[in-house]
Order: sequence, then structure tokens, then C-alpha cells
Amino acid sequence: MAYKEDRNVFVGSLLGSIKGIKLEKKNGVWSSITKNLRKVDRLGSSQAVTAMSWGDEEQKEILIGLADQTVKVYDTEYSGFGSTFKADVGEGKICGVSRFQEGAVIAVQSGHIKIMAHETDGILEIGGPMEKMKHSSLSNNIVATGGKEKELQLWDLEEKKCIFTAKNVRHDYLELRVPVWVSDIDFLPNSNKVAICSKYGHVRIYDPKGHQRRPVFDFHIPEQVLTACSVSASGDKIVVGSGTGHMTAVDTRGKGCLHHQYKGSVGSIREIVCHPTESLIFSVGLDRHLKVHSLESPKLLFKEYLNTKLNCVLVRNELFYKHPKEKAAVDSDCEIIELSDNEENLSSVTHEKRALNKLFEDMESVIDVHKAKKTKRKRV
Amino acid sequence: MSSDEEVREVEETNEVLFPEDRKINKIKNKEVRSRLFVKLKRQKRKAKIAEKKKRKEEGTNKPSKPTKTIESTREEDDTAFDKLDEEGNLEVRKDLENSEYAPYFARQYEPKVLITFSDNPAKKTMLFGRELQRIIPNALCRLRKRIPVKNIVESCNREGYTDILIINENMKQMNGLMVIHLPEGPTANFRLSSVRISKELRRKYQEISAHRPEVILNNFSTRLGNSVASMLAALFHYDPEFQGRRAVTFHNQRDYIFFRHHRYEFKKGEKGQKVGLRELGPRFTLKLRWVQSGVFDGKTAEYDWIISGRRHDLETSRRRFFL
Repeated sequence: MAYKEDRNVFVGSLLGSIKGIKLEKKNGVWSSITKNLRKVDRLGSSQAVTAMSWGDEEQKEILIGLADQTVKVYDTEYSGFGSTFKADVGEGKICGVSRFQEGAVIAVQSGHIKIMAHETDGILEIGGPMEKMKHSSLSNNIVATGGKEKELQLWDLEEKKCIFTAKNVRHDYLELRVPVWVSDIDFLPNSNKVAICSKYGHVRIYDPKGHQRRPVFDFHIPEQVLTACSVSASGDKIVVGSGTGHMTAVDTRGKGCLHHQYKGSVGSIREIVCHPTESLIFSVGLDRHLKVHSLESPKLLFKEYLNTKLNCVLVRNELFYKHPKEKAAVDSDCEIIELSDNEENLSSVTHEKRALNKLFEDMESVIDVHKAKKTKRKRV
Repeated sequence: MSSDEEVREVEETNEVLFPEDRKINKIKNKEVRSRLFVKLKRQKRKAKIAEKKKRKEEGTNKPSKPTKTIESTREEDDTAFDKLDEEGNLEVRKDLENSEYAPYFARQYEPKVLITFSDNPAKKTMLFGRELQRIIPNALCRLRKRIPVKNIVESCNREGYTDILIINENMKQMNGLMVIHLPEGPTANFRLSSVRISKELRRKYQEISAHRPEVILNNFSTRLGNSVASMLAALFHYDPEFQGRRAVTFHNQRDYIFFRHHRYEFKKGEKGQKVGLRELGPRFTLKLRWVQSGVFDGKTAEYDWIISGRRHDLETSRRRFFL
């Protein structure tokens, strides 16, 4: 578990450098130690990091997609690069990479998705220009794609078919078509819903399991080129960043409203990560800084100058790792029921969920009767 | 101590000292008063000069302290070049080698510049554009003819231009200068102010020779400053013709970039060589508004740096500068 105590934030730049950062917070004061993971003399603009993702659930290894379609695997446990392979499909830079069945899924700008796994293998042609591909956190075989004039699509990698295609919103008040340019995608935590942001300032949520293909939530921030989005851990806020360096949280409950304007950016924001357990936001962009905000306040908590224009950021789930012994001590202080292992904790949660589900299944449905009555009246 | 000394002096001279009551401002007659005042001033000045000379000869002249200005007490910028460590230095160097201006500094192409205006420019604006054409080698000045910037960029790419300058004006006053680097950006927008064309400086354009000028860039210390400086440098030919003795200066002071254009001359004086300067004009001042990462795009652009809309967040102190 030593690797979890080490670096907790990883940043990829447009020059190709990958930096491991150890962020610490002691008595409210932030500090960081940064290390370059690649040698400087190998860097160049063709080596630009364009996509990054965790390779496994333990967050031991990182998949890194470069502009020249190379995928590198970095092992955080042994602090070294493992295998390197090329996508060699279509044209353009990699716009999404992730693990799939111990292989990898790689999406490139021209709209090709290459599946490199033991059981399933092949190329999906979606059509470009693709801007982003994201892997679903809930089901391993679903990816979401989108791009310029390319609506959000969900693809099943095992069956190699499209399972959901979004439909554009209705024409605006001038009866003109609303243009589409999906720039970033994020899945809502523990749900099938997908959030997107567009370069024309739209923040939308789609529900693939629902009845409509149009967004279930649509919010417009006028005159902002949204370039990055991330859903908060609670799922009721989407943090979006723009090409002019504005970062703001959109509250998705009800009609939607702007929540906070996070301060401190002077250049375009390229990627935002909302931390799943701590209420922190990590953002990187063209102003060469890594920034940390709290979700609840617009103030800047911490920023670090990292020499080059930054494109990607990854944050460990256990940000401030505590040794199991320390953890137990803290828990006993707080008089919370002690749980020796995380897995046990998880299993108890799932037990509760199952019990709840059973409860709801046993209930009689009331709504159906009402519906039937209504339709009858209409017919008369 | 001092009072004892005075007493001793009095004893030595054996004279009675009366309190001096000849203050000049007490004299009623204005003519006498002013005459005496001038006299007193002259005496004081002579004494001061003599003292200074004496100090210089003795060699006890202390160097004057550096004056405290808002620049000398400037807030540290974390992107400043002098703050880099060894590894950071290597990385930044690599970054600069991969920047859009690397081919220019590697002398791989000769700059070719198009100068144009907003629609229907005023006469002074047109004259200013024509003067820029004389200063910048291999430049061409053309009227805009209501062509959108995107189309200009497209045709300039086709014709092999490397930079575009667009002079903007508001109510017949020049107020903006946009510099677009081709083929892939970046684009910078400056506020243009205090423009004096050579006619207003009582100079004739015939004085400007066709020699390629030297470019002097002063005080650009941060990463942003460096990118702006290289953007301005890349407008001029990399190889100056020294026999023309022509120099253009972009001097950054407190984030304002001052442009001056001079011809210099080496004179032989009594104490060795001296340098004479003659300003040729035009002169103007620039202030950076934003830098876009690609070629100009009004709607979906990504900015490297932009100050509009966040001035209260950024300009937190008078001692904070960005270039």
C-alpha cells in the first residue's frame, strides 16, 4: 500500500511531460512535492498527453494516451513505465483511453474506437470529429462519445453496437437549430445518467434508461465556451470550466442555477476532477497551474506552477492516505463502529440497498391505476 | 556637547554675537527682498557644488540608494524565469523549443507581414499603418475591404504570410492592435494608445531607411511576457542590417509596452566615443488584453491568458505585473 502514501495527483501536459505530485494538507496549510515522471529530452509537441485514466480499481497503474496515438502504462507501485503500444487507427490524437477486459479501449479524433482485449477485439467506426470518449463507471462495457456536430452516443463494447443516441433539443425561439459540440462527458455517480458540456455553453444530463432521447436537464451559460466538466460526488452539481478560464458549479436540482464562480484561473481550463470523497475540485489548464478549490467556496485553496501547458489531471480516490493503524485510532476516537476492512463496509452498504429494494418490490403499485383511469376519460 | 563647542568658539573669536534677525522674508521692500533671495540661492548652490566636488576628489562619495518604486518592490510572479530550478529550466527550454516561434528563432523562415485596419479607417490610422509598413521589413499594408478576419487568415496562409497586424479604431481614434501569428496562432490583442505618427513628431518619413532594423525587447520576465516578446520580435527579420543604424524598441514598464524607433550615431567627443540618438517615429504604447492559443476565433476560442472579466481578482495589488 506504499504507493498510496506516495503521489496522489498526476498531471499530463501538452509538451508530453507527466508529473506526479504529492499533495499534503497539514493544519490547513497545503504543500506539494512535484516530480517529472518522464525524461525532459524525450518531450515534444507530438508527445502531448491528450488522455489519462486509471488502469485498475486499486489505482495502481495509469493509462496515458499521447497525441501520436501511443499509449503508455505507468505503474505507480514500482514508479516506472510498463508496456507501450500504438493505436494505429484512423487519424488524429487520442481523445480517450481506458482499461477494458485487461486490454484497452482507445478512441481517436477521427472517430475510431479500437478495442484491444483478449475476448473482444476490433474497431468501431463512429465518425469524426470526436472530442471525447469516457468509460462508464457503473458498467464496464459501456463508453460514451461525442464531438463537433456529434451528439452523445453510448456504445456497448462487447456487442459492438450503439445503445443510445441523444437527440438534439428543440429549435430555439427563432426556430433555428441549436448547434452541437460536445466537449466533455462525465457519468453521474452510481447512475446511468450522463452529463455533458458543449462549446456553445450548454450543460446537459441525459438519461439513457428513460423514455426520451432529449436531455432530462438542460442549462445554458451564454457566451461561454465550456471545455471541461465534472460531476460532484453527490451528483447534484456539475462543475464546468470555460475557454476564458471561468469555472463554475451548476446546480442540477430543478431548473438549474449557477452555484459558485471559482476564482483564480487566467487561461482556458482543460480538465476538471471533482474528488469522490473529499469535497475538492482539481483543475488544470493553459495557464500552467494546477489548482485546488473547495466545492463549497469560490476561494482558491492551492495552486502550483508546473512549467508547461497542462491538459490532463488524475486524482487518487484516497487522497490523504491514512495508515490502517492511524485510521483505526481515529475511528475509535469518533466512536464509530469499527470496521477492520473497507470491503466489509461496502458489503454492509450493499446489504442495506438490497433490503430497501426488496421492500419496494413488495409494495403494491398505485400509479398504474390512475393512469388507466385518465386514458379512459380521454377516449370518452 | 554641541553647546560646549559653541561656547569655546565664542571665547576664541572674542566677539559678541547678536541674534541674526535678517530673515529675507521679513524685508518689506519687494525689490530688495527678491534681489537678496536670488543672491542667497546662488550662494547655497555654489556651496553645494563645491562640497560635491570636494567629496568626489576625496572619494567619499556614497553611491545613491536604489529608489523604491512599485517595480523594484514588485510582487513575485511564480512563472518568472529567474525562479526556475535546474530541471524546470530544462523543461521550460524544451517548451520554448517546441513553441510556435521556434522556427523563427531557428531562422527557418523570413517573416512576411500583412498590415490592415478596421473598416473605413481614419486618415491618421492609414498613415500609421503605412509607417509600420516602412518600419517592418517585408510588410504590406492593405485596406480591409470589409473582409472577415477568418478569410484574411485563410488567404494569408495561402500566400505565405507569417503574421497579420490589424489596427482597430473606435470613433476615428486608434484603440487596438491585434497580432496574429500564422499558421497556427497564437493571437494577441493589445490596447493601442498615445499614437504619434512621425508627422506629429516633426519628422519626415524619408529619414527612415530601408535597412532592416535591430529589435530591442526590454523587461519581459514572465512566461507570458516571454511569449508576447517573441510574438513582437517575430514580426521583424531575424538578421538586422547594422549599417542602417536603425533600432526599434519595445520597452515593457509596469505592463505597458512602449514602442520607440531611433537612428543612432557614434560621435567622437573629447572623452572618447559618444552615442547620439535621433527618434524617427512613430511612437505608441501597447497594453495586453488577451492571448488566444490558436488563430483568431471570435466564438469558440481558448485563451492562454485573458484579463477582461477578472480584473478585480487579478489586479489585487499595484505591485503585481504580468509581463
